[in-house]
Amino acid sequence: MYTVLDPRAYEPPIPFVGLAPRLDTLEGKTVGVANLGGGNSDVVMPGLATALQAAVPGCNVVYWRDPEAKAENFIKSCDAAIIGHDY
Amino acid sequence: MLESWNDPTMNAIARDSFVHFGVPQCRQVLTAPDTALVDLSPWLPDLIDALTRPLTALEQESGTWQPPIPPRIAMTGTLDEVQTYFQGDLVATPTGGPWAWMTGGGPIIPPTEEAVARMLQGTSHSPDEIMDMDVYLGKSGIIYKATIEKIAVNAVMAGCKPEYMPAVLAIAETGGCIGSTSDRTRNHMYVVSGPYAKEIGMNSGFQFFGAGNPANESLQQAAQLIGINLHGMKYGITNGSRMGGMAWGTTFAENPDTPWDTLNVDFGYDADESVLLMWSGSMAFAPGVQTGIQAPTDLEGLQSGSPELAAAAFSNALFKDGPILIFSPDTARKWKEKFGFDSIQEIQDYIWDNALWTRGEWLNDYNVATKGGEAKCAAREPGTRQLNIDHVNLPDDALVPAIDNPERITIIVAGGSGEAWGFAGGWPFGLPRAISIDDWR
Repeated sequence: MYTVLDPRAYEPPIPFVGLAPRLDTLEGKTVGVANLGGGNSDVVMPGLATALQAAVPGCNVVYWRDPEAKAENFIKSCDAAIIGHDY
Repeated sequence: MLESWNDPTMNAIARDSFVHFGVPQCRQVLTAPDTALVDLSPWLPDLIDALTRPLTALEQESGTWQPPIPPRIAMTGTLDEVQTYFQGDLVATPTGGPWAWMTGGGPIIPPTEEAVARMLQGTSHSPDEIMDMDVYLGKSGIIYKATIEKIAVNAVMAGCKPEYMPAVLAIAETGGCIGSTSDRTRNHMYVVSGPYAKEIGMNSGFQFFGAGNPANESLQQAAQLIGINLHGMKYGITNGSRMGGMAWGTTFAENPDTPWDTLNVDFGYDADESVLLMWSGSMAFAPGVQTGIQAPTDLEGLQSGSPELAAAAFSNALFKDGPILIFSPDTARKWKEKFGFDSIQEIQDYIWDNALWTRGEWLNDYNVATKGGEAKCAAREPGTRQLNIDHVNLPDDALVPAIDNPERITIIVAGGSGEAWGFAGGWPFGLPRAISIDDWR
């Protein structure tokens, strides 16, 4: 009979957070569509922004794509954000 | 979160990421499983719902979650029961597997207290010392923590001898075979340079890439187990490679019979210091005898390569970053004596100057176009020996170097007598890394 040791490392505690509060409506709100690049995101994300604007004309949909900059500042400037990234 | 396609494997990867990024209740909108999907408008209602539907109580919860901590003692049983236990339930996804739980798929050596204690004799480090698992290509930045004892458990399972422990610990320091959540093929390769290789009987000659050598082979197994058990690598979940890596922990020793600096010296160590070099990336080696290379060749050129052939190989390689040239010792001597390359730096400079493609091909390459490559190079000083603003400003049909800069090219000497050479590309992220083995003695 063999008594064997466990080979696995352990994960430290993982802090988790609840979801960001939802908007009650997209009307009158600014929704950012941030394209972080990769794959066909340069086609999908602008299309998503256009489709969302058409679906909710009263929403201010802002499309963002800047490989040089971090998206954080743009995201924080919006009431909600859709962030797209493909490998 | 908007999933780009409703694939169970991708969903599992996403759910695992949600938990480890600390947003376990992240909402998902699942689209059709179509890699050519460009119109997301059919899913807009669901997307808008995800943005506006009020949060549930569960979705609002915050706190800290402690993943289960594995016990020190796993189980007691017969040899067959031990194998069955470590293999686990052989989890499959709809698109791959099944995969074993705590092994690389093959049998393991039972890690008893006695075997682990013997393994720990191979290092002066305390069994209780904790190593933060450097999740270099990590999925979420989670730093697993393992004791030296845990690493020794994996070394026993892999069939390592105690004298291999310093190399095992160096491999653990790099992360082992962890792959990537990306669907790209990811390889992991390790090369030992310095006197330690001979001390533990590694192979650096004939068949160095292949099986048969206890040290090379068991270190490869250890690298695989370290990825699984010390980094939480899960095939099909945190490792999303569609095909898998052909160099999955491949480990060999550099042949010190070289006319140039050995790798330890090339990477800033002394000749009597032992180091482990780690590569991880998208490509494995191709032998130099390649019918696809468009360059003048003769039999000698095919066997021993030539500068022109090597340059053409990299010009035509699918992945050009982090290139490696590998020579048998006799071929290395030919490159010095016949072709006049007196140093590694001269080879690097030659390849960088002569492995070329057009500016248009360069900037339209997927890895360059989608990763901000043009902007990065445009910010570099003109006239420097690296892709820089000068190259960006050229017309599309102008020739530019296929490799970022000469120092990205690594030269390895390994193999038996006679002439042979090989090449590889696709080892990005600033790799390789050099880790001291001596620090782990």
